[in-house]
Amino acid sequence: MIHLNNTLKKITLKNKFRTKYSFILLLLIIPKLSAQNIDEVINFGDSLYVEHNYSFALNEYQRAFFFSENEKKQALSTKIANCYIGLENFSAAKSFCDSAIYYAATDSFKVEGKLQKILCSILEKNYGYAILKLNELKTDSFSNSGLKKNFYKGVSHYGLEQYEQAFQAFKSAVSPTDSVTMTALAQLVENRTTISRPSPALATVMSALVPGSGQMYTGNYFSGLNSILLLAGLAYVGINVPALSVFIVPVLSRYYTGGLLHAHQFAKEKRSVHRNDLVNDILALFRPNEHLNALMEVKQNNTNFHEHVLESDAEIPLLLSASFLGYKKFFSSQDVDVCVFSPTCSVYMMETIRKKGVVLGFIDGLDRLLRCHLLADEHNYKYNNLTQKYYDAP
Amino acid sequence: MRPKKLLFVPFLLFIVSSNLWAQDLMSYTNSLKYADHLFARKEYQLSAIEYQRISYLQPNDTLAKLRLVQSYRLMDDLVNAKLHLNKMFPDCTTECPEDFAIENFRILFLDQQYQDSYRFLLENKTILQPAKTEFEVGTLLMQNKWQEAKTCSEAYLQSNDKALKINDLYNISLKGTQLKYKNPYAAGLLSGIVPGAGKVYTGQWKDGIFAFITVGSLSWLSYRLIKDKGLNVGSIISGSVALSFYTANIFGSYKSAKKQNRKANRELTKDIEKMLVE
Repeated sequence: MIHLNNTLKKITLKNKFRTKYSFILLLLIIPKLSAQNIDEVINFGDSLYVEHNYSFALNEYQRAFFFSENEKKQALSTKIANCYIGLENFSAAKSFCDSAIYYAATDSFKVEGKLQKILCSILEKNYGYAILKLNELKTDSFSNSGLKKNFYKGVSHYGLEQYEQAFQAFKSAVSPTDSVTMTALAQLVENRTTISRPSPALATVMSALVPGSGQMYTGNYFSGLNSILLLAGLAYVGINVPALSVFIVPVLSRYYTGGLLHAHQFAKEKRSVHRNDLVNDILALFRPNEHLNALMEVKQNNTNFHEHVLESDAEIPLLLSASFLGYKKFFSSQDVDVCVFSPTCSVYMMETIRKKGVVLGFIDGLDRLLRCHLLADEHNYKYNNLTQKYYDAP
Repeated sequence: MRPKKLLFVPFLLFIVSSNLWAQDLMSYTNSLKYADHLFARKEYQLSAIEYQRISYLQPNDTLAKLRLVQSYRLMDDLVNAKLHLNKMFPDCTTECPEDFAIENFRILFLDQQYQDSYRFLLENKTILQPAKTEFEVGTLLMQNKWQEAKTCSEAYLQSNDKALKINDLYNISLKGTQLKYKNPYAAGLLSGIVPGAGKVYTGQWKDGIFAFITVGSLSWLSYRLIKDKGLNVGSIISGSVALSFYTANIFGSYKSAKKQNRKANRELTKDIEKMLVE
């Protein structure tokens, strides 16, 4: 009987142990299950980020960030900052870099956060500030972050057109064991004569001596020919009809000055294309952040004036449209930028004719010409600091 | 039998709990928590999506629906805000709750449909008193009906004298009645007599001086050309250019007076939007 009792006790004990064990197991499983769900959200965000779908990825990361534990917040802040960099919202990206630095557990994570914040400054083209912050940063020179620091330094110096320092920084950004990259970089740096050509100063002087020659020197033959023909034509009219010289002399001087400025500008543009080609080759050696490549692309803004042309097929609108396009192509392209408004007077004229009809629109356009003088002030028009123009739409 | 039964209990619990936790972050309570956090941080674009999910999960939650409409309004997406409001209250005029009625008014007001918003206020019965008169006076002021706004606010101030906002609005309407508008036709006439004088009258003296110099010198040039050589191609072109600029300046003076009047109105009413829509 006692024996039987003992065995029964043993069985119940065993069962008690089993139930306890399973409850403990359950308690261990539950938080893991919930944690896995945050991971799922993060993984989904990662897959969206890889597809460059930054705004949707941002949404997922933000949710995970709100619900996650403090240990995960550092990695999540970094990801959110990357999304904001992809969306070109650098101030938000910087604030999340700060959050990554705040939640960083180790010093190396802190340095990573600071480097990411500096990357934001570089992408904002705030190169001087980036160099300042990079010099403050303390890293081991041959660690991963040390090489990254030197690389960012090189990019910043390149942005500031300090080429010697830039090449030096790029050289110290290659790890000493990587001899292939080192030799490739040295070759690129040796063949760098193109970055100072064509010279803007030379182009300006050439155009001053022979109008149009500076533009031709930079490879812009059409503009050069246009410049010299326009100036010669105006001079011919001025000499033959002295009565009109009151109007012709100021216009002539404007187109002459415009030629100099355009030669300078074309040379600068072409030189920056050469410079960007070189820096893109260097960046390709380092296989860097994809966002940095976009920084070095030359953005060309070709304004298309055909969108301002009038739709009507009647003779007078057609004549107006043709003279507008001809003026833009052959005269305005040679002129100094003197209109104080945005949109310019000619575009305003076309738009207001489209709105008010030929007669009233033409009169309104002429009134705009009367208002377009250097005494215009912020009291009456909105001023755009970036373009330095007053906004005045028809 | 017993050990097997006991094993079954945790297994059941496990299944139940796994179901409970699987939908964790997207559940009603968690979404609400996250949405309120986003709304407080003014990330309205994200909070709108969350509130939309919440109102789908729990159609009875009216506060979430209000927040949904507010999120759209605060991110200046008035079309969507109106769409969602109309979905909840297809006929949002007389009977809908006060918060939603105020939201409807604000959407119309921000959309600059002042006549519609005024009509809505007259028909509505749920918006309570101090707010209702504020909105009424505000819409009247935005339409530049100074006298009506003045009588409306005066009538309210006679019964309650502690309404600060209405007092401010009353002061604006008082300034509005004292506004001295520029007459566009007088400006045109002045510019017809002396080129540029109309622009000086409307306050644009710099434009006036420049117009006087340009039109004056062009007229003088064509006068000299006609006087010296009679009518030929040069003098006709010069004369017609001068005449065009002369006409353009008259039209410009008329336009400048109108612009100046608009500017004066805007100067008075610029703060009203902030006052009524927080």
